[in-house]
Parts: sequence; structure tokens; C-alpha cells
Amino acid sequence: MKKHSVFPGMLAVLSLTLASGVLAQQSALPEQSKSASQSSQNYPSASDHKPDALTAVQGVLLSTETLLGSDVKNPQGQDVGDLKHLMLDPHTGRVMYGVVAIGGFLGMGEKTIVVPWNALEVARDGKSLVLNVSPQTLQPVPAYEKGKGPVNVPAGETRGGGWGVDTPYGRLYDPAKEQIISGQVCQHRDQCSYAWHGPWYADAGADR
Amino acid sequence: MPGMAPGMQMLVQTDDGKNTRVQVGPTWYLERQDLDVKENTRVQITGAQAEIDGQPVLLAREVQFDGQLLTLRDMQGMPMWSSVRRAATK
Repeated sequence: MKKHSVFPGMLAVLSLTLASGVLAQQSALPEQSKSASQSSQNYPSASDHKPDALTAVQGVLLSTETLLGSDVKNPQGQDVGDLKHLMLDPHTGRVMYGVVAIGGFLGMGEKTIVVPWNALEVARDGKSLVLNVSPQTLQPVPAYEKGKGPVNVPAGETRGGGWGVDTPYGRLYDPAKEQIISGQVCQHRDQCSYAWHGPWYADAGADR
Repeated sequence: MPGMAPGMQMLVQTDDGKNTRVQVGPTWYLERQDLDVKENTRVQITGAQAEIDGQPVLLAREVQFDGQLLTLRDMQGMPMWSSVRRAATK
């Protein structure tokens, strides 16, 4: 996960749960072993946990122990809240959302919300997480209560991994303003038609 | 700026003579769609008006051209490249 690359030298094995445990283990396995393991559907025995397999782990992983309870700040370094939980996709083992308790910021009452995991970034100092979302955007997000109703997330996502929507946490597309146009694509600005590659408000990101 | 990646816009001269900037999508996504809209191609675009950097643009949801239909967003406007959308439809 590139968002953790600011943790140089830090290597901790994700000890999340069964799902992410499998993910970590698959990362650790050489390709041949991985496919053999997947095809046979065998669970590893204790004898499979050899030091060789552990040394094959690539990249930087963080334990939930490290992450949970971390301060969440905005890009200006102001406190936003703290990370309470992670939500996983049990099929892929990927962390999908972070559950963040926010409050006491610009008069906003404390509440727990769910944000896309890729909206959170490890701060450069490695001591907190950064949520690049304005309080105004967070304010209307319904509070999350475990087991009560759907999980609501902000309509947009922030950065690359973000896969974003249109702007950082600001969704531009309004179906009520939809229309159909017909015409010709132009080539030059002064003629009308041109196609160009310019900045794109959205995402790029993580699961590219 | 965080959250920005190269993307594609088109300028379309509509049948009533107006020029409309159309925000199509991020380049990395369009490259996967085998999209090849050439200049002077006739297009029909369904999208929503929005404003970016003070400029009016049309955020494309569907682009039809040469008998092809490229769907870029769902009916609510959530981009096909959004992980939020993908997660919701899994």
C-alpha cells in the first residue's frame, strides 16, 4: 500500500483477522506456492510457517494495533478525530473503510462516520492519519452505528487511490441537471473541436 | 493538487452552434475502454452541467459515437472508475 510508504523501515504484519491474514500470507508466498495453495484450498499447517516465507513479505504493512486509535487530522494538522475501526471486504481481504470518530471541530458534534480507506493517508511524521476532507463535507454524512442501517460514506473520495468522484469529497454530478447534447468533436480551440488531456478532478489511485 | 490525475476533455460544437466543454474521464480509465473519438466525429452525450474552476462543463455520463455507447457513470452519476461504486456493487 503506497500510502504507508512514509513509514520507512516499518514492518509489521497485518494481524487483522482471517481475511487480511490470508492476504498477508498470500503476499508472502512465492507465485508457485500461492497458486498451489489456492487450487488445493488447503489451509497451511504450522509447519508451513517457515522463516523463509516470512522473509518474502514485500512492502510495508501495518498492524491494526498500530492503526486503531490513531489521531486523524486534516491537512493543516488540526485534530479531526481518531480511527476506531476498519471495515474489510471479506472476499478480497482489502481494507475498504475506516470508521472515524469525529467531533469538536468547528462546532460539529462528535459522531462516528465511515470514510473510504483510501481517503486516509499516513501523515509524514508517521504519528497520525490525514483525512483530506473539509468539515463542511463531513457534516452531512450520517453517523455510523454498527448493525443499524446502511453504511453511509461521503459521496466523493480524495485522491488517487481514491478512485474518486469529481473533486476531493465534492460530488459534482447532479442528475437533476442532466441533458443530452449532439454535435461534433472539434480539433482546435479556435475552430471548436479539440480533444486534449488536462488535469482531471478525481482520482487515479490505488486500485489502478 | 491532490486528487487530480490526467484526464480527457472534449470540446463539442453542438448542433445549435454552441461550444461545450465535456469532461469525459481520467486518462487511465479511458485507455482501458478502447476509446477512439476522433476530431469531427459526431457524438451524442448525456451528462450533467457543472462548474469547474469557474468554467461550465458537461460531465459526461454516456457518450455515443459511431454506433458505440461508452458508459462512464451510473444513473446517479457515480463514475465507473470509482472504487466506492465498485464496492457498493460487489
